[in-house]
Amino acid sequence: MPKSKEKPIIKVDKVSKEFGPFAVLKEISFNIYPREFLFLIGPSGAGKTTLFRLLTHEITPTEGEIVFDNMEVSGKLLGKQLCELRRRVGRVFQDLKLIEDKTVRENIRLIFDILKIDRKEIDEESERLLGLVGLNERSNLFPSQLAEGEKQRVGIARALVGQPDVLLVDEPTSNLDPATSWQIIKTLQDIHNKGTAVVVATHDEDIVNSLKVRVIEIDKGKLVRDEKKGKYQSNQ
Amino acid sequence: MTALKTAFNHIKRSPYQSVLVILTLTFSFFLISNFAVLCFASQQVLSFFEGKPQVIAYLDDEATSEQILALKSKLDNTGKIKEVKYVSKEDALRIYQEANRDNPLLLEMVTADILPASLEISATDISYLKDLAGILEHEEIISVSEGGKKEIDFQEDIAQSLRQWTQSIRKIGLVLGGFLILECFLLILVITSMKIALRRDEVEIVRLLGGSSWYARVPFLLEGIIYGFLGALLGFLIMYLVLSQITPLAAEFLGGVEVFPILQEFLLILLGSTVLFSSLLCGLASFAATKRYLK
Repeated sequence: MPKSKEKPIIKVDKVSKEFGPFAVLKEISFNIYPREFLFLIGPSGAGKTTLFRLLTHEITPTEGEIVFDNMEVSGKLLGKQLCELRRRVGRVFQDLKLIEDKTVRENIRLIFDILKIDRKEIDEESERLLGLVGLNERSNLFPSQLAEGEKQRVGIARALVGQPDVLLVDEPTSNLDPATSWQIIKTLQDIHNKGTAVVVATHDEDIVNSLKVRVIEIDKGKLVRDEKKGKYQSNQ
Repeated sequence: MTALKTAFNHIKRSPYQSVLVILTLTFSFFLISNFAVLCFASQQVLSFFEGKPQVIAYLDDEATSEQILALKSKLDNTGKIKEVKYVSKEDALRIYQEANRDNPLLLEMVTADILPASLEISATDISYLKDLAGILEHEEIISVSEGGKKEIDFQEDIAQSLRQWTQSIRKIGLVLGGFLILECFLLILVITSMKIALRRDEVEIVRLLGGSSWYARVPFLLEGIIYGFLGALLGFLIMYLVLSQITPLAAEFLGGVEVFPILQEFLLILLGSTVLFSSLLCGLASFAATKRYLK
């Protein structure tokens, strides 16, 4: 949990996003602090994924400001800044976006190349990340040969390559059975315990209620709740 | 190195497309190389004829050395002369003997006395030949044939028609080469665009994960350059094989005109320039495609 005077690593200030006539997010404001674990909840279409896209500068807000560690994310970013942002804000996509004709290992190694990380470190670091998500023995398989939970782990390992300060995880348990869902959450907790802020967008009531961490709720594009030890409310 | 590896992977993963592109480029650069060699060879033939004495004026047996020197000086003063060479009767016999050394019967029958001395005149430009022949027509020391005509040989017609041929080959080569180059450019543009469309998801993932636009672009650029390099290289090699097969026949056909075998230096320059040009052209076409589709 954030300490009262700690400086936020991400500051979202009155951010709105419109796609044509549709307002997807309306004046959303909140902070994310270093080493925090929080859930972003809300019904489908509430704007959770749009918020993640804004935080990684995939799209820019119609109004408002997003600042990541003194970097103005809501404005125009140069190539180097964008690379830096996406290295420091890791993202696990809902559809995972794994490259199907690359093996697990190749999918992870690709990010080392993209982020221009020294090649000497690649083998060692790849092994470490595969070990962290428990996929060492399946590293030569292609995504189509993996179970859904394993694919999710590959997505997580890939997002950790740049040793991000913040990890954004979009619906990590949506297609998983409860046991596998808990394994994924356990992996995310391990990552959080090593010092990374983790933001999980989810619908999973059991997981949110069990962990008793900060919960931000969005509904119809508005921030309706931001609680330190939140729960999934029964009306959802 | 990673980008190069990715480019080779792109090629390997769509082998039929890649082979088709390389074959098309090979065929185009085979034709372009052929035209370049043809232009070079025709230019060599033309230079050969232009470099040979273009007017031969046979001298009367009575001509004195003063008269011959006076005529030489008169010709020199026109400013249209590259060289005037006096060929004596003895020189003429030597030339005759050399030309007929395989025929002893002909050699026995000829002595220096019956051969005329001559002046071999080269002009600085082929268009001056008529003027020079006109001057010689009025000279008394030029021998006269039985028909009453001055004995003057000049090869204006051969050289003129060769020059026209050379210019035509050059023009056809340029037009055809231009079309082939345009075709290669468009082919690479279309193929790269298709490949980008096929790999759109991968490109999008790379961008979302922090890859710069150049990171996504470079493998496609390299792929285009590889196609260009291989196409031009194979096109040249096939042309070289064909050329080496026809060289003995062509050399025999052209007789004393020393064109074949084609100069190795020219072939090396041709290889280097076509490979470089083709690589740049295809790289540029790929760049245009990535600029259009990888915004």
